[in-house]
Amino acid sequence: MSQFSLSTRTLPPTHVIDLAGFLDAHTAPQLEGAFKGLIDEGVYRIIVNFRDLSYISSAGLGVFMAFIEEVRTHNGDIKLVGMSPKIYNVFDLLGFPMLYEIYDDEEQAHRKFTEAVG
Amino acid sequence: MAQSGDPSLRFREEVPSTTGELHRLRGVVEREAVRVGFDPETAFRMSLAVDEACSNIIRHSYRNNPAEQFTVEISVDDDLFIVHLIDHGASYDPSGAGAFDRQAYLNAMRPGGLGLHIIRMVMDDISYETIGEHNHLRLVKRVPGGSL
Repeated sequence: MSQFSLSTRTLPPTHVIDLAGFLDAHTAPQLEGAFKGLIDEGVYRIIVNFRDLSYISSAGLGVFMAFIEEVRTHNGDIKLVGMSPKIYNVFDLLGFPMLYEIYDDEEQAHRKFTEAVG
Repeated sequence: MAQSGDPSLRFREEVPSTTGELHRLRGVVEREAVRVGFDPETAFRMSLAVDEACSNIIRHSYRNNPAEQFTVEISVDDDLFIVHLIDHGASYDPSGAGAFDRQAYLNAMRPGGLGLHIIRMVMDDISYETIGEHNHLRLVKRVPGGSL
């Protein structure tokens, strides 16, 4: 059984990472690789869609922490959308909503990026 | 059924030290927690705490060596749900770690160190001791509604 999958797509001026399944210490390296790939290409406006993600542990949260500084240094951001209450509670447990912009849906996050680009 | 003062073992397994086992272990913890009366949300959080503890053993005690194994035991003693993890890797006493400073952590924006904080927030009691070559980590959560 596949525990986790991700895919990336463009939604100009952003890139979207869609997550599905279980994001833990076993699967977090895949997300890390996806972020590295985008940043290596100079992509700094990133939306992560959690709609189909059913689990996250600190290993998954750590991936977002690892890249947020570099992305913001380049005037970009990582915006998070579509979290189930279960996933949001884990973020909230650690105070992450203070650090990340979290939206109900992709359109809201995309609009924020579009406004920022002007 | 568990008897008063008589620990009742519900699960025991030697687990390979690989992160590929985490998904299955979470399922075991969640299932057993619900069986003894925890609500699904609390059971989910308990499975997260055990995931974090096992991840620490795999990464820090065994340094990601998949040839190693650790023991997972789940028992219920009176009104206490106990997850007992035993390994023989490098010891690390979580009770000796400093208190988690969330604001300082967020300001620093650095990964790592979150797992222990999650364990502390979810479980009622954590104990750690090294006996001989083995490290024993016990994660305890009080079962709602008292004795089973």
